[in-house]
Amino acid sequence: MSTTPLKSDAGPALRPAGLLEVRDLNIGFRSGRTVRPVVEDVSLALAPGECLALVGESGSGKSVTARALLGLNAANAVISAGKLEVLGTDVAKASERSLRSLRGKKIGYILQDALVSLDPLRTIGQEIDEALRAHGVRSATERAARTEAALLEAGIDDPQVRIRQRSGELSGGLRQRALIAQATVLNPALVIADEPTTALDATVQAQILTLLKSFKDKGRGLIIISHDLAVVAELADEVAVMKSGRIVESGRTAEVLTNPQHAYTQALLDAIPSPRKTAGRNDQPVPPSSDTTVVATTPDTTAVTTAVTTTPDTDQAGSNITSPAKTGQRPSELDPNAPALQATGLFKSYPQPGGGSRQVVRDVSFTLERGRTLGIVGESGSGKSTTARIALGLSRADGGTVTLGGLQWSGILEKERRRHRPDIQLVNQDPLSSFDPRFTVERVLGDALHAGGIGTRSDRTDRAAALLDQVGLPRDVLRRRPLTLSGGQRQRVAIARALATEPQVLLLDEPVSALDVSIQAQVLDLLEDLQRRLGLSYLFISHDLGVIQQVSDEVLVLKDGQTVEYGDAYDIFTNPRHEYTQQLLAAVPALPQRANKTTGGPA
Amino acid sequence: MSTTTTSTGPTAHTELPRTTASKGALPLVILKRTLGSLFVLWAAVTVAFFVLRLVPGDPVKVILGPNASSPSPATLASIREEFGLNQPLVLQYLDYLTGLLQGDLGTSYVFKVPVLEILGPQILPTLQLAGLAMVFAWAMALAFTLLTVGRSPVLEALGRSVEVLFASVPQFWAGIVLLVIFAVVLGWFPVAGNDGFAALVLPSLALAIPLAGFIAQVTRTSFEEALVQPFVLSARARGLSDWSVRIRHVLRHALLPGLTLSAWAIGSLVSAAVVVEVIFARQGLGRSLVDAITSRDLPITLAVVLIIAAVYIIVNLIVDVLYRVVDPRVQEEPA
Amino acid sequence: MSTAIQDPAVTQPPGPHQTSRNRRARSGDLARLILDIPLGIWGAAAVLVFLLLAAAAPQLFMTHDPYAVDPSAAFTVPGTEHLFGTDQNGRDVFSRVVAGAGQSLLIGFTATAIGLTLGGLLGITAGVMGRFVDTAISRAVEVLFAFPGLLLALIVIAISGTGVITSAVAVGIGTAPGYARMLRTQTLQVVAAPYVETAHALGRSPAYTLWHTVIPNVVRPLLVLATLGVGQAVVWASSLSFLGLGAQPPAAEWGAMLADGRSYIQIAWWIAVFPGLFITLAALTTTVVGRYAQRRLEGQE
Repeated sequence: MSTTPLKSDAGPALRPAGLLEVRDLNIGFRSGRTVRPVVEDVSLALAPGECLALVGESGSGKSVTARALLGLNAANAVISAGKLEVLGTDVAKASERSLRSLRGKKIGYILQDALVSLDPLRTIGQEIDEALRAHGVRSATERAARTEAALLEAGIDDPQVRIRQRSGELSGGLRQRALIAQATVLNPALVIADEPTTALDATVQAQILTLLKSFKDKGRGLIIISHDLAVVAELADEVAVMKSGRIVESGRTAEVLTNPQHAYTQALLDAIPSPRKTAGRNDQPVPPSSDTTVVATTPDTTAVTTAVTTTPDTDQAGSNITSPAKTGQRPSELDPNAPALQATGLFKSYPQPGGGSRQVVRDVSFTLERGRTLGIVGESGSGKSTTARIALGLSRADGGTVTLGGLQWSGILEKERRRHRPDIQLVNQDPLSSFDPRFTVERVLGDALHAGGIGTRSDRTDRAAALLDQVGLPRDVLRRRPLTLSGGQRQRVAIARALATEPQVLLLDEPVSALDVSIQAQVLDLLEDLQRRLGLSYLFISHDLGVIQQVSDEVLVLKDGQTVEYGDAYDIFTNPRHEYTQQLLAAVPALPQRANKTTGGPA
Repeated sequence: MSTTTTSTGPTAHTELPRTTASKGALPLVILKRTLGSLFVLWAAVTVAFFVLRLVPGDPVKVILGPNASSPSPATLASIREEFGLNQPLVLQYLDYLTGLLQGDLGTSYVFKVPVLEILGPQILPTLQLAGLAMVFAWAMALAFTLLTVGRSPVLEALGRSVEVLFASVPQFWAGIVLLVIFAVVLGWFPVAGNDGFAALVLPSLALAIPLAGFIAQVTRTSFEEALVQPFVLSARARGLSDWSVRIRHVLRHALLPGLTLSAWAIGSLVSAAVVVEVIFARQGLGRSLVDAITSRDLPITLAVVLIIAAVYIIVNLIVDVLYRVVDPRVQEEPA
Repeated sequence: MSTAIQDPAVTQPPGPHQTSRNRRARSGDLARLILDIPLGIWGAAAVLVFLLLAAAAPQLFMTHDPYAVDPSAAFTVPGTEHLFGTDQNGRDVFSRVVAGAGQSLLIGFTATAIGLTLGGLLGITAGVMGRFVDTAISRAVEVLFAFPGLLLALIVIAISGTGVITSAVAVGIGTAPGYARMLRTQTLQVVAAPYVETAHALGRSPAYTLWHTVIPNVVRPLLVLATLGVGQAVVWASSLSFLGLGAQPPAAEWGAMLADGRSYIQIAWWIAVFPGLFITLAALTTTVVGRYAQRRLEGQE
């Protein structure tokens, strides 16, 4: 950290140039009598036609910094800066009136999710019109003409139709374009985009990035804020990596990404999901002990794991926790030679509100072999979650069959299914809502153990603690409520709960989509480690190709409820045969190859 | 709360107030809702009719009055005949329904004249009272919301406290205090009566104060919610001033739940008018109801109950339709 | 993996929105818990304790016999001898207000208990029994809503006659539809919650889930709801008394006293104003304390 200010001072981000000059910006939030610093000593500069990216994880202060450029921080923000000059205006000292003439006219500001970033009660046309009106465009015909032009510029082909629609009536991509149009209608010299593509499907994301790129060619300065280094790589000329309110590294994009100096930047780059390098994971020898992986993520795990396996009085518990599939206390009737989960010809439709029905799953089949990972990937509306619910037996398919470890799983009475439910467990995107709000972690896990018929009342606390050890959480988490845990910790608790019933199959529905990239990497490592140790089979559902590519042995690509491609992960990702898969892969933002790539180990 | 940086869908923060209003094309919905309202009205009539028959005591005694000394069986029979009480209950009910459709609410047991003749002149004063109270309540609630939400902590705390206080004040105590201050001490308004607008001010204020507290609490919450929505930030970033954002964007969102609340409030205002009419010695439905309950005058009791129920149902119908104008999202399918 | 990156919540200060909540969650100790409570809540709690004490043991505070008539002392202005003055019969208004606390609060609590029980039965049944029962109950509740505010209570009074007990029952029934609607919504939310689905996926039977997951989560906020309801019930019950349909004079009940004082408003404002003040205080303090409890409960879970 000590070398950082030096580097950023010397870095090219500080060249005194045109649009923006920020030196030693400090922002804190006052609560009561104390001021909590959130941004410290940040310096930025930007030339016309260039793009600067602020990259960091949640809480790094990147959005707060961006808002400071427009003078839009919350009322309790305390801002001080050596210099805070945007397009010739000293934002720190400027009056509200002069700031207003800056906003919209000279600086366009684009927020993340257009569904809520445009007033859901007003039409697109009204929103854009308002920007023109606020900056003194009096003639209604002129406003109408410029609104249309702005929509066209943002890549909306039928502006006459769209101006009459509200954001809720548009698709995600159109909506984001409309949001961009309202921010750029006055042709601002500087555009600030805060996570402009985060909520979008990969193909749409690529289109929006192209649009933003075109702004640079028009001579606009662009500041893009993102948690995603890959997105940034496509667009930015300069990158500033933020952590805990400070810029830890900055410089030309290519240089930062290929030759990162700061440990945090390296760690961020390492955390990005990367494809396996060989075909079929199971060809690789399984390491006898996975201690190294676990140690890196959670330092206190090794000791505890060892304790569990060696302490004599928990011997049985310990061994069965280490390998539930083989010596589980809970007898399982699944056939060890049959595929873990098999679906054949699944169909599902939902009735439409206006009558008729919509086919969400059409003839989907897959086989999940034991100890392997089947990745299901698709964009929103592809039917992947419905497929998951059918596989879990929570939703009944209109046609097709599912077998779980050779047993009939679909089309049977819930009463019969219930006996085998402990064999297949679920981890979903938002673990918090899956915990009974009354429960502490101890009760969450104890309840799952009870449901699986595992252990006795007296030893459940020990077993719950052992489960926490397995997922790399300290034991004092037992007494906490899930609400007080961080996102990553919650997801670990959810995994521990899923493991409690000694399942053979885990259904992972977007398990890391809500997590910061570094946490995401830790959770993925944990999952991989658990699979190796416990012989689990994973059905892994995600919209994120990078994640799917990293975890999967086989991949099923879904589009509009239909199988587009299904087969070996390596084959599909290296040699996609279907056009849609090719499109998907092409849309994934790529990082440049790194010179000094470090593969794990403490930096 | 959660560290959401990536989300798979656009559902991350759409917790804006929604109504319970039904979806579909407008004319169809109006038709549906009207039929539904008619059903509720019919059910309310039926429930009220049969439940009020449970009132103990022989109606004939009420009809004869307290001074009647042991009437002859012939007199009793003729009275029963005259008021239709000799028929089976179901027939009486059908008779009542038929009468209702023709605008006949029956004959008062105590006054022996058609109910409508007695209640007719009472309806307007009560509706005026409730209407003006609603106007006052909204004016106060809007003032609180626009002036104190999202302002300095002191103003916020002040607004909040006043709202809780207002919401806790019973109408009759508000009435008494207003009476003491503005009528007795200051003498600005009459102490009691029905004459003109001046006599209407204090009673409607008394009704409005607790309602203003309720509405303001609801609008405050939704105003606060709307104020932190990203579209507000977008609008500010477009160069709009704080006030125009509040009025053009935030307020509309904040009004939606208040509107639903108002539909409920009109009904309870009309029934709360009972208390205020007694305090200010005003004419009105409320006083007629209390008098009728005390004197066991069944037809009047029933009629007042039905009028209030009808007002409530009609206002709700109107608000439900109005809501769809203010919030067009109700009509559309999520994209 | 590098150790440079860790879970943000472990290493980083909490974000702007979560400060207070996290601080609260971490400070388990009682002292911090008490220091966290704002001054206004303390004030409200103190008044509430006073009202409860007055209800339980009025003799602690009464300076005079609340029913002792003394025509020579009628209409005494509030002062040191008679804190709140005297009424038309020379009775001490303060002592009568204190004596009235018991009855008013008892009616309030009874009415709330009745309302919550009825509303809870209807609402929870509607929420868990599925479409047909739900539609039937919801329609019925909707019809009851057509008798808004006091009206339903007045109908009950019309049938059962005036009196203290009937007014408690009347207010209870009058508030029941509101509770029914609230608890139905609450139940539907719980039934649809992912943690109920998780119980399903764990292999729990519907009956087990209903008793161990759904109902506890529906009932959990009821205590707070009850606190909020008592204030409202006190106001409604005193409205009935004020109209002469609840407790009857000369009973020292706040609503009845206020009705009594209305006739003398032009010569002795205090007879009506003080009982009304206490009704307001009862409603205000239960609301403030109840809301606060609600926020704390939601904030911690």
